[in-house]
Amino acid sequence: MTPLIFFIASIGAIAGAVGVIALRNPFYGVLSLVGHLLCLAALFLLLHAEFLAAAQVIVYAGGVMVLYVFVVAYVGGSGESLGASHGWLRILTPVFVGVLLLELMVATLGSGLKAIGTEGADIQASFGSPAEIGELLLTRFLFPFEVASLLLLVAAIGAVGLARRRSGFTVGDAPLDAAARSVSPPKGSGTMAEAAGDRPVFGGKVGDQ
Amino acid sequence: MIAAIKAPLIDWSALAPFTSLTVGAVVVLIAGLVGSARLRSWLVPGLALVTLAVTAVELLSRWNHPKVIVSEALRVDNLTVTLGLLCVGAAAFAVILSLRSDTEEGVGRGEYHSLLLFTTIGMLILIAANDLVTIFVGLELLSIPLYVLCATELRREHSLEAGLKYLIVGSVGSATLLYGLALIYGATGSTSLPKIGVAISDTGALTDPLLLAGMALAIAGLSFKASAAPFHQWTPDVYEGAPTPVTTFMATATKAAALGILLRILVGPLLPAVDDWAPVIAVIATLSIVVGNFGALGQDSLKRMLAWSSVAQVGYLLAGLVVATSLGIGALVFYLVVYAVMTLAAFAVVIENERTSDDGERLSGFAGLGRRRPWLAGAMTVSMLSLAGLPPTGGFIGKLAIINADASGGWMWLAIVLVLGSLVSLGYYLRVIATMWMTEGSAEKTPVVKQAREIVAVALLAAAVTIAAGVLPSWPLERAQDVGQTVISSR
Amino acid sequence: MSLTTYSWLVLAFPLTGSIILGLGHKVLKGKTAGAIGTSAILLSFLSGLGALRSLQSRPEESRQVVSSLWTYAQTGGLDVQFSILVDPLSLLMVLVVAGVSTLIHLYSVAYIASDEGYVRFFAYLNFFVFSMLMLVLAGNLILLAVGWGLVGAASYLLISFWYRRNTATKAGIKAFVINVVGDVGIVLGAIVIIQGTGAVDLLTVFAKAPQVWHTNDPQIVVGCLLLLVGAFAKSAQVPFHTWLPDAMEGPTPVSALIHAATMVTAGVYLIARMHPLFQIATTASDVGAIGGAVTLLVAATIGLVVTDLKRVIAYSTMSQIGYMIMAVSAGVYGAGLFHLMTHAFFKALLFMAAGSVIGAMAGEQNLDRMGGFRKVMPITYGCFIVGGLALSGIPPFSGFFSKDDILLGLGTQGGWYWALYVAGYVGALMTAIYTFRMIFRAFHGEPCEEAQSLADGRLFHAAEHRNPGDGTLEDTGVGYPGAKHHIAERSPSMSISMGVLAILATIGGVIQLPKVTNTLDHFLHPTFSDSPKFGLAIDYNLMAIGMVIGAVLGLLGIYIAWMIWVKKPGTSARIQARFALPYKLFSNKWYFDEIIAFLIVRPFAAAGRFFQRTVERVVVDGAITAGPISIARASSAAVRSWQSGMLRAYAAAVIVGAALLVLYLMLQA
Repeated sequence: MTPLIFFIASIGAIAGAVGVIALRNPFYGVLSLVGHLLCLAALFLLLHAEFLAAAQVIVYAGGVMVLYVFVVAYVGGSGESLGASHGWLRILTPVFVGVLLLELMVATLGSGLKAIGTEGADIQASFGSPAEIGELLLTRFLFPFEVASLLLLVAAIGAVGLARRRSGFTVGDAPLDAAARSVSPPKGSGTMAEAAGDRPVFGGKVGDQ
Repeated sequence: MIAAIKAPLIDWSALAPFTSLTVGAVVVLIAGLVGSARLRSWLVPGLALVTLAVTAVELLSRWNHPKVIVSEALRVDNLTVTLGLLCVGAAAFAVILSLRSDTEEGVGRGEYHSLLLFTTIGMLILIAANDLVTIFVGLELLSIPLYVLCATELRREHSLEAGLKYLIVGSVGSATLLYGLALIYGATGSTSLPKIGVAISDTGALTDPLLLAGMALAIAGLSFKASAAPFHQWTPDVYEGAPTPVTTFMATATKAAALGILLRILVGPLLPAVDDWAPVIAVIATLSIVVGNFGALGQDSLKRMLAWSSVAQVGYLLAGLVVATSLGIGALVFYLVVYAVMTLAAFAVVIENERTSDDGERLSGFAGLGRRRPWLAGAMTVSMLSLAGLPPTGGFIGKLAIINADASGGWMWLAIVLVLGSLVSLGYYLRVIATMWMTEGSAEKTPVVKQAREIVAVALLAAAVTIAAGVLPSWPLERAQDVGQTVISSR
Repeated sequence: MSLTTYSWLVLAFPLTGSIILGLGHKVLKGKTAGAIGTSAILLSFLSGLGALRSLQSRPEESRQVVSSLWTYAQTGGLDVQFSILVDPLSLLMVLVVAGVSTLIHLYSVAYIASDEGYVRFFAYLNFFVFSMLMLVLAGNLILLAVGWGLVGAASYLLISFWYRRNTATKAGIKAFVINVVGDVGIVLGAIVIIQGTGAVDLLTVFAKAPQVWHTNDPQIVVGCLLLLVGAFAKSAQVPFHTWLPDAMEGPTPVSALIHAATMVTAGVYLIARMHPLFQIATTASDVGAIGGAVTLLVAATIGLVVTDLKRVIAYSTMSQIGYMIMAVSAGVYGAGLFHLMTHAFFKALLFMAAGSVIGAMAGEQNLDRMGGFRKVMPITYGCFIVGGLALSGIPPFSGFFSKDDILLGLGTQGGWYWALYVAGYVGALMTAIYTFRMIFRAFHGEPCEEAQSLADGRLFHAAEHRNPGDGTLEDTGVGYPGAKHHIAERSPSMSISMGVLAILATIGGVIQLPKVTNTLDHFLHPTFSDSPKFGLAIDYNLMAIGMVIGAVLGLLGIYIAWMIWVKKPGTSARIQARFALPYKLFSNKWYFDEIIAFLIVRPFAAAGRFFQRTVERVVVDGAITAGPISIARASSAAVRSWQSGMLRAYAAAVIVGAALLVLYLMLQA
């Protein structure tokens, strides 16, 4: 039974992940991500990490995904083209991603198969319980746990700070700072604008005033 | 039910540098809410500087008192103290250098400074990390504030572009590192660095492909943060786009933190695998030297040039890491400090020149600087000479120490690459000097802005330290050797 | 004062001078800067004399003294001290460098007087002297490499001194590129030596070398070949020589000081200093000797055809340094250093005199446009004749004894050194020809416009000043134009320094008269006492024959030059009468000069043109200067073309890099 669930969940997780990057429609992409996360939760269950599985479903598949869907709905999932890849990039990247995948599989199988032949892990009844996790977070991983709270604070500060800009490249009625705009880098200096082929109007309609 | 939990012992005195920075960051954030803009403009940087000064003192008091604290999450030893002081110093100078930049227009003064302090905490944690989980959390705490800081000049699209690029490519780098750490955990069954070391020596897991793959991915992820080739491509774009004080901070402190943890992992638990990873690091070093130096040739933007040059400099530093002896580590630590100081001087001059002239960041803006502002040009000259590795500067001694370590550690070819790379680097470093002293500015530029004394002072101070390190290198070299010794012996 | 105190003072004075001049360049007015600069070097020279007296008062075994000012770094495997090595060899170099520099500083006080960069010039010049003295006094490999690099930097600054001149900055860059190639040779060579012996201190290295390496051990051969790259680049030996003629863009005192008397001889010094190593690496020594011989021939042939006055002297310098390199590589140390010294005297003299002519020509350097300066500039003419005779090796001028000493040393060793011996005499003949070609063309014949106006009591000023290099119009920053510029021989400081050098060039040979004085050999003995080749018994027959051949070839060369450049244009009968004796001896038949021209001069001239056009311009410039530059350009473009700005490309690069790293480590497992 366990191997069957494992394979179903694994295949589901991989398919979900592929779907996220392959599907053009953002809504489908988000749905695919939800599927991926649910499959991951199933894998956690197999590892006796019930709490983690539940958290995964509630926090990610629930809360975060709802947020994603809202964002997609706001921004509008228009079929905007993402820009064509360079020719060599289109070929080279999949090749190397494949190589990396293969390598990691070899690595995993090379050592992981030993574990299959041995007896399973000695899992206590309390393993993976909220209490157990809580204890770990307050003892062994106390420090990373506390630092994670700082991370959240930083993320909040950053988000608020960056969101302060509401008017494109203008401040009040003042036009875009001429000096800041005129200093455009020379050719070959590698801006995204250059990569996209021309200079985009950045941050709204004021760019061309 | 679980019995009563015994909370870990916390050595508050050893933890003090971290706590003081955290408290300071929060206080600075709150001080940013003070109503009066005038009050804010000196209160916030002032509090940030006080925080950094306190942290520096606390770090200094830990010299030669190595200790593993908070259930083995952190190791506060001489390496932590040295590189921590470097990062704290870099942060303090970033505060000074951005005194006159208009942070209010961007994310706000309080936010800017507290983000700066938060990323410094991240660096300290990363350098001191003794556990894989701590490493990752520290790296994220280092990175996320930096992503925001890069984008703080909200009205400049290059600044936003820099932040976005750094964020996205940085996530790839972080993911790579995380994957690597996961594989190392999988192979050794522990997240604690010393236990990983024990597991590797006990089981002889040196040929374990899982461990090796994990090691490779971890090296890749950390090389990304240190902007070593071929993981360097974000560097020129981000360095150019970010506000220059932030660039200064990134070029000095981030590199120190990334190299510090790379050192701790490779020369710590992974030292038995030295024959496996040393060639990898050597190749990365060579690539960085080649790519960085050739990329810097012919750049018109000083910030881009310094970015490329920093890629090359990381190559020199990694060449010291390859020799996993106290000799090589000492050379690395010494050169890292010197590198930070000379880079600081260069960027301070760029900032001041940027303020006072229109094309101050371009090479053309440096034409005739020697005549207009000889002291500023002098500081730049010292910095360029030192980056190029010419005597009598600290850069010369640092390169000498690394070459010496390489040659005596059986890495002769790497030493030769280093020498040849330095030869190429003369092509762009000396170009700056020639532009400053041997050409005249196109028109007599009357500075519209008042000269910033504190920036000039920073530039001159850094130049003086660079020279001092080149003339009297014994003391710093010995301290660097001490650090190397502790790293080797602590494993 | 003790020996070491004196030696440190030798270094301290020029450094202090350059610092004072560098910091006070805005404050110092008038000739103060010149006075400060000159007296700094003079004091340095006097300290050198003090050191000499103190060194000679010691017993011979203890005449190699190492003095350390402070321990630079003694940790982490580095054991570097700021130490100097004072011994006869370094002291000889100190005296030559400081002595000639003093005179050239004195000369510059007047020569550069009308230039805007007066103070800057003396600051650079003092800095150069400091670097050069540090190079020769360096007590360990690191300091040696540092001095080596600093000297190159100072040379670059001085070549591009007139930085508004395009040609000057280009020449500076060229010199810089080639010198950096040389510096890398020195650094890598030093690394090889340090790695082999585990020591940086020169005397320790020399003591350990025979135990570490056997004869022609590949490691030391490679190390010495790398050192040779440095020596050849600094001493402008084929194929690293093209920077030297271009370096003539610098002011003439610079040419006299750096590109004739001092810096370019650094390669000679290096080989002599490292002689314990070169004696082990005999292959490298042979390469050095052959390189020197090739250079002396190639440069001499080019000297025959060049029309720029200063470049003729520059090629002559290359050729003469070829003699020295050949000598010290072949183990003829005493003679090589003797020639280094006499060459410093007469070549500096020739450059100063050339500066005087160029001053009178208002910056013009083309021999074709000169003529007839003999009467209007008698002192300059006299100096040229003295220098020319010394250069051509006419007895009893100094160059005669030193050149002969080198060739005698080669002949004494026999074997394949005979080939070098013959090459040396062929070169000597050509030397005499090109030297006097230059003198005859500039001073004899019809007076040119400038000479005429000087005869009328006016100094020539061009209506508009043009760069002699590329004909572009120049502003007044470059010294010559304007009413204020000088004629060398009419300003006391210039004529004094020229006079002193003329006397030295005449009688300098006295200190090493074979069989009579041998002072230099005795003096240098402590340094070279370990060398089996030093002080070989002299074959007196060979010596006598060599002296006769040398003198005859020198006179023959002058005669040929006279036949071609004076006689054939058919100028005054009076000149003919003055040279009546050789004329009667050789030219009973009228077609004799045509035969000479056909047999000797034309092939040489053709070879010279060939070398200049093909070997120099295409092969050397192409491969050694342009090669690295274009490689750098292409690589730079390649690196930057990857910098597309596309996030996906950047992320892809991270993935590719990570995949390759994993792949490599997996293959290791």
